Amino acid sequence: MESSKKIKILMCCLGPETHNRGIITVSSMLREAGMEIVYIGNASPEEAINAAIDEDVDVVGISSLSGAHLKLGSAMMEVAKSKGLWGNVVFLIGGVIPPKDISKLKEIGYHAVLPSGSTREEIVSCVLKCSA
Amino acid sequence: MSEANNSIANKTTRQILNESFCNERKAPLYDNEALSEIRGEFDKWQNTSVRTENRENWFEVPKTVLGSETPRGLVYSPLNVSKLDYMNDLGNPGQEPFTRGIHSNMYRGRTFTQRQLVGFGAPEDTNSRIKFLLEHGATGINLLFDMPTIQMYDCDDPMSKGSVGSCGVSVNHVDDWDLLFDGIDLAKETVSIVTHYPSNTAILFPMYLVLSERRDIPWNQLKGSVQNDVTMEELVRNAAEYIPPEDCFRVECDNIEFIRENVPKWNFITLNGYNFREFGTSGITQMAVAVSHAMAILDEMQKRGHDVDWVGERLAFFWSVGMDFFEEISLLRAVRRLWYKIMKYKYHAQKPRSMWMRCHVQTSGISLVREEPLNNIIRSAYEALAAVLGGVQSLHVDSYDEAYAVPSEEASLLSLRNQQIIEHETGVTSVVDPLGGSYYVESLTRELEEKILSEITEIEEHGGYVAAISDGFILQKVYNYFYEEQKKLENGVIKIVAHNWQKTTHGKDIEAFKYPEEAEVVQLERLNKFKAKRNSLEVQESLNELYKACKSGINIVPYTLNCARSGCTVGEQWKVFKDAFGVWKRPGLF
Repeated sequence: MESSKKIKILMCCLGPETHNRGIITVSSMLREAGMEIVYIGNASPEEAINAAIDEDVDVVGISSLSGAHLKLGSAMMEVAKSKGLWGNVVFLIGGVIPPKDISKLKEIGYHAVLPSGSTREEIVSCVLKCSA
Repeated sequence: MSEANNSIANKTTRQILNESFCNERKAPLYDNEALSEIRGEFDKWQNTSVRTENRENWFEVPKTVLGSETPRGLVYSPLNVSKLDYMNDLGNPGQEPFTRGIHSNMYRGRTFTQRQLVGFGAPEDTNSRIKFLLEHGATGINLLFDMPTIQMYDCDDPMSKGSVGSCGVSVNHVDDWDLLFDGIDLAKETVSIVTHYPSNTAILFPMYLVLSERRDIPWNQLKGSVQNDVTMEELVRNAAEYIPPEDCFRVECDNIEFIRENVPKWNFITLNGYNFREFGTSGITQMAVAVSHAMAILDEMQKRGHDVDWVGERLAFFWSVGMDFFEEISLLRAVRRLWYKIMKYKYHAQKPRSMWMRCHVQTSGISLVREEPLNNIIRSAYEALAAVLGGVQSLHVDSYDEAYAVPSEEASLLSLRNQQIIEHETGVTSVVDPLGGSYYVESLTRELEEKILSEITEIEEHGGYVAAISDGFILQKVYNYFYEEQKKLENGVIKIVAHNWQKTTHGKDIEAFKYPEEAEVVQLERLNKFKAKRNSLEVQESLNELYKACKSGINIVPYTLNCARSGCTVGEQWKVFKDAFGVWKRPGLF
């Protein structure tokens, strides 16, 4: 990636997730770190991937607080792989995620998992490192 | 007459209250002679015994999660409450202005209802957890739906895939309600149905009514509450689609009207409060928003020709209680007094019950953290104690593992035990309003009441509650608050033990609750079977009638009731709402 180009991130909640304080807070942090945020709120896995393609983003950030991270997280990854996005885009997921599921999410294809409690520094440096 | 009414309509609540109290007889507790002696001694003490650094930094601002940052003096004395008039400002418990509680005997008469939230998986999963809690002494049911149900998608909707049974119970139609309440007596238990929104209250509550018909229980025996709250649907909620705030508010009032007329013991709204504060704002703002909302309802119901008391005596509130211990207690006392004043002097309510600020309280979820999760038990216990000292009617205590998943059975029981220990082991329920008369608490109560009223005035000057939602005014306020709070958490101004202060180096993660895997499959199969046995002509007709009712402006609940009877699903009715009302684009940050 060219150093002059802003990192562009799609931020969304998959499915009917109602909690949004986390995604808004993280979006603000990343915007303040100089990144471009495409905030689409709620989307189905298909809608999220289509938006990622349309917006030509570098990173897809998913917020999950209601326990559907494995099911919806893998559903989205399947769509991403079938549309050739995996390998070209960085996938990150955060929120209320039990410790045991972190390695599972990485196996599915997420580059990093940021559970609740992650700091601004951890989040920003994770995005920078993954998209380098 | 219209001229006089107009001039009242143009006045702010603060102006109306000020005029009502300007000629009030004052009987302050302290006479001037005593006060001037106290003042003399206090000044002398302050200048000689108090260290210079404390004297110069007399006020300290508590930095807490969801706090209001109201400055606190080093100590409080009669000088801070010099005008306190016992009968006018406090009264005895159960007496106007109800500062000390809405009942004369409070918890000696009836303890706070111990109502723990339950909901996960398919209806049968939640049914067994409800029974587990009731068997262990819970005194009420508090029912939470899964994300698809809350957002009004059926389990077979593409949007629901992967979320069925997560964070609540999946309910699509009336047969699911039957399973959910299998072996539970609807006439005996009080059931809080946490519907969240006006739209899904209009859809889900009629299904509960149809269930009671099936079991031959008359509606007038049903006791409990629904949320039915425009604040939840238009402000707190994160969603792909919203209906416009004006229509949402109308659905809310339709629910109120229908339930009041037909299910007389049911609390038709739980003014929020809780989720709004947890979204990210202070206790003061949560109360200003809920009270402004309540006034919008009373205005609308009067326009519809209803009596203030008819509505007022069943209004109930739902608060979040956070970590700033004395502020939380004082807030509950403050809003109780303010609500009384508003009902009596602005709305001229006649029945004392209409002037009661009745409330359910939940301890703050946002104050709980992932690091060293057992510490959360301690946090919740302080919050629960503050709620009880504040004189609440009903309580849910959050569980220590909620930063990981919904509570496990063990964690859920522990929260119930937390309540039982307060009630039976600490002795705090023996005395009503034990902190009443404290110089500190009375001074803080007065200050917070004033601040709540100021924020109410702000909303009124902005065109009222629904307008302040529509143009994003309230939402922006919340965004600003939690943006600032986030910075304070990051730079350590707000300290949370083991999270950003004394950070844990060796804490181990806990075993989180695991959702029942098969809920989605079970629910899909059940929905297909249910749809196959319905009369599809009847279903279509009911939905068409509902659409017409939405468009015409008549009360829609008889039509959603009809939909429930003919077997329409949650998702089918939500689609009608979207078609009839159109979709609103909420003002956003990004």
